Amino acid sequence: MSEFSSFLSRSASKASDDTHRWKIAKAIATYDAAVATTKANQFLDWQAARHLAAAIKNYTLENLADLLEQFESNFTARGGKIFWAATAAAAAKYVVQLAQQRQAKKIVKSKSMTTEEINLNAQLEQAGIEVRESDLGELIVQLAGEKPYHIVTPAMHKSKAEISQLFQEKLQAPPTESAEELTMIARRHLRQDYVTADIGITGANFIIADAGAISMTENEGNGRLTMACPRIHIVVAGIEKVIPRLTDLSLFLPLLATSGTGQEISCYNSIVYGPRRHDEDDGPEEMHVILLDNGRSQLYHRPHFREALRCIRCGACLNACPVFRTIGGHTYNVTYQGPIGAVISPHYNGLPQYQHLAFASSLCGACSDVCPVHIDVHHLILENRVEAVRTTRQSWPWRLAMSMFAWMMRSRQRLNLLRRLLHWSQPLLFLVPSNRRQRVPRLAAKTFAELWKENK
Amino acid sequence: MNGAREQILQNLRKGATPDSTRPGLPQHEDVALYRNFAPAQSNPLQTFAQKLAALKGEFYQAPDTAAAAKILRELLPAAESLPHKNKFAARHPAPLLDRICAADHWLAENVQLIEPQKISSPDFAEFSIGLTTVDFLVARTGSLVLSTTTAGGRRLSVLPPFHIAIATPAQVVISLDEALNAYHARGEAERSSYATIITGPSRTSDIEKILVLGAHGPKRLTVLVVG
Repeated sequence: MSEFSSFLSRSASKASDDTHRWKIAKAIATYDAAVATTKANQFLDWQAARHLAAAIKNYTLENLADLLEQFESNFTARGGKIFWAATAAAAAKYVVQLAQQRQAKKIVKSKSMTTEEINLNAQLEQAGIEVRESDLGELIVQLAGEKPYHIVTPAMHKSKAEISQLFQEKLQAPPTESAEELTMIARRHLRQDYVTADIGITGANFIIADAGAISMTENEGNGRLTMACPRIHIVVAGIEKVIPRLTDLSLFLPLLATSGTGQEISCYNSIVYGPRRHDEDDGPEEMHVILLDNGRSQLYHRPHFREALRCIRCGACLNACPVFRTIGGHTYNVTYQGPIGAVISPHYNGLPQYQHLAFASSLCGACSDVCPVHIDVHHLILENRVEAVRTTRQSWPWRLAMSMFAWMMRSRQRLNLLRRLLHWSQPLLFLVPSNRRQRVPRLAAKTFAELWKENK
Repeated sequence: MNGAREQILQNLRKGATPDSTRPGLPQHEDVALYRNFAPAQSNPLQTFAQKLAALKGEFYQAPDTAAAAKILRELLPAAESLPHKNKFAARHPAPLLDRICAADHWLAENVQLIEPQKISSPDFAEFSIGLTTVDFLVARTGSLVLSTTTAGGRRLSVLPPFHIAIATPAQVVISLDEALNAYHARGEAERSSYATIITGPSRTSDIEKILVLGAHGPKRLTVLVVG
């Protein structure tokens, strides 16, 4: 079965799964309420803030090569190591080899979608290295043997009861219906891992050019522990994560938190300048930053798509998307789900078969409305759709139907004729199968043009 | 150094807009962006205290070190029910903490002055309380800015489940922008490899979007302002 047809069957089954729908609706309703309150309480002018962020990111993208070099020279001057990875495979190979050279047995990870993009965990485990996800949501999906459901809320699709069941099976935990007790089970479970792991792996929310540092945003503290205890710290970050100045954080951190979770600012925002200095009390002896391209510089060359590289991965467009809410995150079967995923996934290395995601959108524009860096997400989805149609060969009945449709639509007379034909053939519509999810709509008794004439 | 570097940079340079038509780098003024800027400006410490309380952090203020020692002593025994009585509370060497602990016999005896570099992480994890100083308190967001210099390294403020941060009124700034500017300007980056902006106790909403405090970092965060 092709990726497209399995996508359709997964969509159909999720769309009619009422339990799934209810869980997602509840989570997103909580999120929506928090975001609305925080936007209103924190920002004088939300529109001005997102325009400013977009302008800073546009500057960054136009000067990306220079800013990456500025980051590199500042960061390496303090003893940090940089590895430039053209592909996902090169990035993963670097991490696996480094882990093997340093004879690492256990790795603790904080949440990072970029490490998902390069499929790091599977390759480390294949090399016999134990990998522990430490973010609560990530731990839950790792124990369940699943991929993250949502780029910000990986376990959005799991109820307390399901998580308790999972913890009973995998961690021999007692049954509980309390979110607090479940969180404490995870806390106790991971406590020893931070202090015994050889390597800590994190992502980066921002690469700060003038400071030569990376910034990492989280709420739980697992990221801080991952960067504090193990003797090696590895960061995997996309090359587009750059901001020019340290002080730009004072805009981007509130934007990210507001759009991501409805907080004014996330609980912990760490700025890491390099490995432990000789006169410091603790911290990793080595720090490596992997700058990942994996198709980003290709996306960069396409004038329309460059703005997609402004994305700060807040997840707001997923939450706003009626298609995401209906078919759920796993159905997309890509690292970055939802509208922004439909834009970037087909352009990333090794994923051209994901062109069909451009059709997983109603093009309603809710994604573009909520984007904190003002990406015109739904028009980019439309661009992908155009490209998909141009580059894939359609079946002859489809092409025939489309050219007939185009011919009909080009003349008012022909369109009126088509409508009359459809009107007369309405009694035959019972021949078209319909079910709970889809049925053929009935034509209105009169057209808009007729009503307009009558009521003029 | 690898070939991918040249390839990526060249790709990016080839695609960039010609210099003359590139947009400039916009400046930003926090005063024009944030609603709660004005109250933070008129009474920064009070705004900080209110924000911290809303985030479920605790705030105390003492006029001098003797009063601070008294508050600290009242705070500490409440946590004594925690495990590992021999490793109860730890602090790093800092003049402000030295003065407060010297002001009370009980504190001097019970709060261990540690040298973090000599303590392995598994041992460190047994401490129940970590006492640190701060770089800045940010009024507008109720945040604390800490670096390895002011917090005794990376672990002391995150491994123990109860973090007590001791600050002075002079460390209060209005906005994050101000804090980051000052941090950058005084070259703290050349002394500390790590800084963190803390806003409330550790939290998660990963399970059904229900807020739970104390996910992996400290469950309890107390700020004590002295002076």
